[in-house]
Amino acid sequence: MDQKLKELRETYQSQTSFTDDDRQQVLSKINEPKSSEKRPLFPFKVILPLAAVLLLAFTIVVSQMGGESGNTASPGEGEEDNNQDVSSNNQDEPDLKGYVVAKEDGRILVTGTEQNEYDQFPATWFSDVKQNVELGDYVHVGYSALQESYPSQGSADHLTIVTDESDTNVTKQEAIASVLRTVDDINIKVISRIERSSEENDWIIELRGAGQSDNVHNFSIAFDGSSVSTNYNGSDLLLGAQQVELDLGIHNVIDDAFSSLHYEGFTENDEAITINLTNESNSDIDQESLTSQLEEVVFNYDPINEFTVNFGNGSTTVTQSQETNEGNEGSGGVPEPDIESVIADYHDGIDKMTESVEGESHRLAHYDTKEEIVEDLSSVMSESRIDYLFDTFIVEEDLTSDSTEGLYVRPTGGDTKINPDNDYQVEQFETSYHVTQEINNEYSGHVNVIYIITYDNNNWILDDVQYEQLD
Amino acid sequence: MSVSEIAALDKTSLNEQDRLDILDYCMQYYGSDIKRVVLSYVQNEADAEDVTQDVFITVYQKIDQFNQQAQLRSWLYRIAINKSKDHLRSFKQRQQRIRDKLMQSPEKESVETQTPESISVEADENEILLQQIYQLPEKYKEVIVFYYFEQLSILEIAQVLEMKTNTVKARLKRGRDRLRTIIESGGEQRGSKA
Repeated sequence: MDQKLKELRETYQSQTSFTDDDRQQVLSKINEPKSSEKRPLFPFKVILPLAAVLLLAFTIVVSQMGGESGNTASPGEGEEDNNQDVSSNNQDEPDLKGYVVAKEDGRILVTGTEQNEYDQFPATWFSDVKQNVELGDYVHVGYSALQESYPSQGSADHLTIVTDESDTNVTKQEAIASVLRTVDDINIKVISRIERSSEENDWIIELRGAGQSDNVHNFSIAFDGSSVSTNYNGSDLLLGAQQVELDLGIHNVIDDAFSSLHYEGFTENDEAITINLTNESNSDIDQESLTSQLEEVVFNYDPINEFTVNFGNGSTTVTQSQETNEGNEGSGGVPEPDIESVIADYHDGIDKMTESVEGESHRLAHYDTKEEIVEDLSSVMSESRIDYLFDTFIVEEDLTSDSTEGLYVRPTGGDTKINPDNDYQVEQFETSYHVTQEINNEYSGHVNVIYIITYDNNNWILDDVQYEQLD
Repeated sequence: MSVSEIAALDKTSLNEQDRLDILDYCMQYYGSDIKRVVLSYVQNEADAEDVTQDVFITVYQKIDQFNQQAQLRSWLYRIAINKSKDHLRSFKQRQQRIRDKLMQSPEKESVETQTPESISVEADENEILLQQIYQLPEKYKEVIVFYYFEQLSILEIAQVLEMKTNTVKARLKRGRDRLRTIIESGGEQRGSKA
């Protein structure tokens, strides 16, 4: 199989390559929009000042007439009186359309989906909201006056929730709310894109920060909540996609069977999560049934061993029992090693480490620095083993006359390795396994090769290789 | 320019020349790797060319988003995977695939869209095997391509495919079983033909 794989890799590599033509195509495509951008620059030099003068004149005329300015969403422009006139003149046109991206202490933060003429996403905290607005709702808000700040603050004269007629299991509002609850590296969140892709049966959501340097995260959420993909990294405990899936799962349990409860999201702490709920009608709920339903959802995620349900007026904690925790086998939670795959990974690691670029004087194909090797292979072998292999098989400069910096393979024989296709003995010790194979060939002589395998960082790795001379 | 030099650059103040230098470095050292990975997804040389070019245009546009901790190669692979999947998802592409399936169009000349049977008898046995690997479910195919052909570590694959290492290991194990079946049975069958 190994030989065949090697052949297949060669076939794979010979299939196609990045040609000079590809390179030229990329470069010409990059230049295309640039040249078209340059053209309007010259007339702009004339048009811009002209437009500025006209705009100034227009603004003066309008303000003298005490009339309409049209720019109501941006703070700092116009008097309060003007704004009031605007909202009364345009009763039908809301002053701000956007998504509810945060809710706290009786107020909601609404952000627009597109930047205004000041390159800012409109963002306003509205207090005293009467309606039952949910996180992720799309709203139209009319207001009279706002306090200048970013986000600006004020109270809504009228607010309409634009309901979405989604017939999907996960509604648009639920998908957005879940994403908003999950992402925690953005201060003022903006939903800059939401699309319903019926082709794929999922919601496509783009969430960005209002600030220039903020991140942009993309999510694709299946209509039934069964799968999520995203470029959002997530936390130490769960990947971004898992966080959204879990959030939707918990929401689903609460929404389906416990309508008097309101789900506020979950927080993570080490290998435990806390699910925050509020009991709006203060009615009694069947806590046992709730926790057992949540158990089924939460413990699907391996890294989580415990969860706490916070009801607002009390909490209950559930710890995953040993028999359901499949990840922990044997004593002390250390799983049995898969000896065959540790050996295979180690051999693959050596091959990868010492593979050189074809026609490039032994230059390493995969690494430019030792740090890269350590970072890449430390899940397979110990750092001391990497050190040894590095010192034995790799040199850090060029062997040829032109001195290009880099890592190069030392033209020397290979290490004596255990052949996994032949018999070998495995001995178990307190904290390690020894894999021994007798090898007798011209290169190594007659020796016992011993691979020492240890458990490190939740992983069985090759720690060391020892040789015992037999005769 | 090397990876460490690229990582050391202040991404907020890149000038045009820096961007082009980084792009050129990426194309020179990783161009072929990226194109092969793209081909393994889109399975059509002409599309692979377009998507690969698209990948590098994105690299040029988004180089300031390259996270210094992330390895350059992993970052490139991630863009390549996303672009390939976007391409496969695109409406036009779906229509084309459905049309191809319905018509089994004889004008489609590229090797990648042909079934093993239609490839001439001189075709290399290994090429047929490779096409069979490409026909595996995507989740197995991608870990096989990255592990055996691109020779990434489990950790690196987990980063590139944005999943946990245990998931990668599990898929690789199942993928390996399927691979063994293909190599053992498929190889003999097709091999006797060639």
